[in-house]
Amino acid sequence: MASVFEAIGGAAAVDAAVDIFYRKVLGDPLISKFFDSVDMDRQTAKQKAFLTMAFGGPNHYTGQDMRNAHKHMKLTDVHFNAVAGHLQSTLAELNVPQQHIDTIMGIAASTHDDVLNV
Amino acid sequence: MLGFQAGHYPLADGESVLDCLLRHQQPVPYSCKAGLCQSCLVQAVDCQPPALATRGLKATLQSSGHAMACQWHPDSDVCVRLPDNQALSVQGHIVGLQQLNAVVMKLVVQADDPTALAECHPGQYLNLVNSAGTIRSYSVANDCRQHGRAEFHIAATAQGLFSHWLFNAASLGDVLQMRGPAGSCFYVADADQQQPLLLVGVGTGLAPLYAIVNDALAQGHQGPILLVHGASSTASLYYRAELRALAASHSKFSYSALVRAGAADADCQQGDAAESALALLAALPVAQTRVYLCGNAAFVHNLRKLVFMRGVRSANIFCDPFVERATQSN
Ligand SMILES: Cc1cc2nc3c(=O)[nH]c(=O)nc-3n(C[C@H](O)[C@H](O)[C@H](O)COP(=O)(O)OP(=O)(O)OC[C@H]3O[C@@H](n4cnc5c(N)ncnc54)[C@H](O)[C@@H]3O)c2cc1C
Ligand code: HEM
Repeated sequence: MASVFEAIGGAAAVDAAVDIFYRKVLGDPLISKFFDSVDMDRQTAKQKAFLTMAFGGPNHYTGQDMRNAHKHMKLTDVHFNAVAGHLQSTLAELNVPQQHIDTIMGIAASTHDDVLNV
Repeated sequence: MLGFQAGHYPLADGESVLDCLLRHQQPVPYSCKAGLCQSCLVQAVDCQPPALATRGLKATLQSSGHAMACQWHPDSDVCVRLPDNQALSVQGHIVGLQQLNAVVMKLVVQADDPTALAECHPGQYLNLVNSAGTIRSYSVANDCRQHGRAEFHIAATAQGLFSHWLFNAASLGDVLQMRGPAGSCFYVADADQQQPLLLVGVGTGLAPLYAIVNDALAQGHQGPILLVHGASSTASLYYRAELRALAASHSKFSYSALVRAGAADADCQQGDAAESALALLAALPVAQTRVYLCGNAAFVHNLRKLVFMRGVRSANIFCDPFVERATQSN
């Protein structure tokens, strides 16, 4: 069975989504400060890593990596839901079929405990 | 544990190689501490630096184990040494020193080997090392590929080590070492040549932009090329005659200067360079426009975010933030 990553277009889907998603995140005062570092190229690369993972694409991140990457930010459900919301509306904007959106939101939800270090 | 030259130094949790060496009073050059300027290069000994610490380095440097000490946070024992300056840099001599206004010096350096800068795209930067060993990054303002003669525009900085040396002690014939080139802020001809180019710089941020504009024109760029130069006052603008002449001879190129204070004239207005650039952008097809932003790091960072939020694609934004030396008590 093809993964949702392949079904929605693989790396090209990530490229199409990254600017839209990053624009939403930067424009959201609740979370923009986390993404507003001087090195925007690096940020774009991280957004791509995030999307690839959420789309179920090839990645090498373990749950422990997710914990380490996020622990210094002291995130709560408010932050998590904001990011998830922007992910969902990005997918809707790109006309990704609802069944794939559901799968992707499921993958994102499965990282909840690691991202929030609970 | 961090091995360096003959010594061994304990690394604190999460500490960078650079911070650890500085904490132990080791003589490592550095400047921006942000993974940009490449002043803090070290060479790995029997270990592999992580990808983050080699990002943006030339392939030859990467394959020879070079890495930026400020971006390397080891999680096990590593050993590094200072890179071999000789192998890393190109030697040149100062052949031109000319003040462009009260606060900007034009420095021209001729590489001893005229082919040595053949790979330097106009707008990239070189790291200059003076006889005192001070290393700073400066953008190349001309096309130095053919003759190895590089032009720089350097701003006077209060209590600045390199700029103070340049304005007060440097003279024609002095030796300078040049490392590089580095940076990705330059004109690429294989992209869409119809794209509008919007170039915005403050202060000596004009240096790379001047090189990029000339390169784009030389390579036959088809779309409009709009240059905005911001400065605190008319006295700190420079190259106005050159830019006016360029605009007069190329209908697709236009130049405007923005000053915070001072008299306005035909191509110089009082106002904010970022606001003026955003007004120009509003009249362009944003999704196709390529944007170049150079100069003061805070200015570049802010405007980068603003143009991105207005719809410019991240792949179409090229930046050269002049990140200053990080503060450190030594
Ligand atoms: C990619 C890149 C390209 C660049 N291109 C250009 C260019 O084309 N033209 C240009 O003019 N500049 C350019 N720069 C900036 C340049 O590299 C230098 O940062 C700048 O010239 C200042 O160097 P300096 O040695 O004169 O000052 P520094 O000695 O580095 O001092 C910088 C400032 O920090 C303060 N400072 C220094 N040490 C301390 C301390 N211990 N505690 C507190 N404050 C301190 C000084 O007072 C000064 O105001 C570029 C930078 C980068 C990263
Ligand atoms: C929804 C689930 C999330 C997933 C799957 C996820 C995934 C990732 C991934 C893969 C990385 C790259 C790690 C690396 O390469 O070092 C990353 C980094 C990052 N994440 Fe998340 N993330 C999630 C939620 C969040 C939230 C809620 C925030 C904050 C509001 C956040 C902020 C960040 C930041 C700022 C970085 C970059 C850290 C750095 O620059 O080193 N993430 N994330």
